[in-house]
Amino acid sequence: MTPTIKDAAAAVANGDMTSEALVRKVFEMSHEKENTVHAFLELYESSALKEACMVDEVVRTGGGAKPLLGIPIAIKDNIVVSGHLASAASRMLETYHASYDATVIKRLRDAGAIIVGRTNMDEFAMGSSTENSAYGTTKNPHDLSRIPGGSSGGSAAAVAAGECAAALGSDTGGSIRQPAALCGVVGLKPTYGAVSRHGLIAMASSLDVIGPITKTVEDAEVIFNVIKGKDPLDSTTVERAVIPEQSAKEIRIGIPKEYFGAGLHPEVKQAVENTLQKLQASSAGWRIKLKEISLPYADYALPCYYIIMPAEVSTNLARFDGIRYGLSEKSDDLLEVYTKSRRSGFGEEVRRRVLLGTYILSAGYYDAYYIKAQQVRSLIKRDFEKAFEEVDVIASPTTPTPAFKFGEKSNDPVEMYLSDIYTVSANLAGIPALSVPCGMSSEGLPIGIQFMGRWLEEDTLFRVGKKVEEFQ
Amino acid sequence: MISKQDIQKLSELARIEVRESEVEKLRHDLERVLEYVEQLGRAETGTVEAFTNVTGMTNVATSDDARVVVPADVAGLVDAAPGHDQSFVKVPSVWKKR
Repeated sequence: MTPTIKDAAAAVANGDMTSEALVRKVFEMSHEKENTVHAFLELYESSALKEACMVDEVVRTGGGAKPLLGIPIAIKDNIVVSGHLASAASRMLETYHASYDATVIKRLRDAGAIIVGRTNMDEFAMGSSTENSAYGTTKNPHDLSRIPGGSSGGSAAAVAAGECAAALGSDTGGSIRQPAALCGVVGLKPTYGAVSRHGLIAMASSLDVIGPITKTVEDAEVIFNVIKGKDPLDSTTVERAVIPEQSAKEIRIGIPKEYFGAGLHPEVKQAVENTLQKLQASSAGWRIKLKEISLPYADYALPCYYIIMPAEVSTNLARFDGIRYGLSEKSDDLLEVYTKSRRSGFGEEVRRRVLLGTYILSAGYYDAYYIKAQQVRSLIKRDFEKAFEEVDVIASPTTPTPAFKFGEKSNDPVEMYLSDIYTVSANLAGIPALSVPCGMSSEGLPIGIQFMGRWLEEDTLFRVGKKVEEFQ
Repeated sequence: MISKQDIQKLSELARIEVRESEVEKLRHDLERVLEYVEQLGRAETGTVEAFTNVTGMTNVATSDDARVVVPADVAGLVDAAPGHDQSFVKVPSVWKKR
């Protein structure tokens, strides 16, 4: 069994293990797997080994312990790392070198982490299969004929294939949890504002959040505790004033009936229900009580998301104009520089969403679509507020089906969007959500269970998630 | 619901060239997504206030102080622009020469 991050960092700190050995091991794995899995867009072999040796040198000269000391971590390609390319898997940013570190990168480095490379993703984080990358698809390590999920598909596949100890992803509508579930690893979407977005290439700013993809719940907790917290460079960040009491003798888990209806694969339903039954039956230490609840606006979450997200996408991506960064088509006419650069720089799905967002925000449609969606968003948030008066955690499947085959959903955008049906609500409401592996399908494909919690109560999710791991 | 002219108009507004061969598929795809989101019309929203933010934030104004900007940071940002000259970003002329 691979050691947990906590154990590995402690072993590095007391000299039982070197960071160099850890980093060499993940690169050996990458050399073996990358030909087939293609989780990475770039491996930082020389810089990572150099940094690892520096960590080991500091340990030899008496340096102290750090939570991620010497731990190899991969980064989704939409989070900037100073001096390295950051393309968001787009042709638009093919040659863009970041001139600064994202806040999360600074925090990882301060905690001793080694950045081993940048991972593949759907272009600008738009997609659920990593098929929208401009640089080739990533394969699911459990079945190479299937997608790894997306948009953080490279990060989830890299963790699942053992090509890093952990990875960062970003989640706008499920982009951490969905690939984590489909690749059989743990994914945390933190509370909106719990983690700084400074240095994240923005998709939809009211929904975006950075979070960890890891092998275990404890690993996710360790990384979350490193990257979270207020940041003057992101004014939407918040800090939790009081650490919640983690000694409650009973945790009440709500099961929303709206999340178990039509469209849910029978094997996914079975695995999630079995896990919930086992949770209720376990009596070690503290108890779990299940309760059926209702989130009446749940069915409106996905259509609501597909109005708000493209609206924000169309404004955020206006900055890619052929002038400020990346790809620029030459012309003497300024307008043509814009229109031609954006045509050749953006892929099909990105162009589709920008045009859709432009439509939604245009005069005459703004009230009917955008304002209506923001009203529904208030009601979805209110649903959760009400539910959290009677339960502490809400459980659901992470995805409606296990990983699907390449090309299976590429022809109909709405078919693809439906893979996020259980995950988008947490983004709309801004609550934290954790996906934990909870079983395998008859075809040997991983299944994930999702736990959603109150604002800034990630700790409760970790507690429940660890209990699920005991059954696996 | 979405016409060919709408696509042309959106292409102008979004500053993305749309080629003739792409119009029909785009028209079809946008219509498909709009049909899907139409169901939102059935949601009872009454006079519910539109959502503004998750955590109840209010605007934070920063004090109007001059900040020291490290020249290397400026250079890093300017260098990212496809056209630049020293510390300036180069842009094709906005107004046409007569």
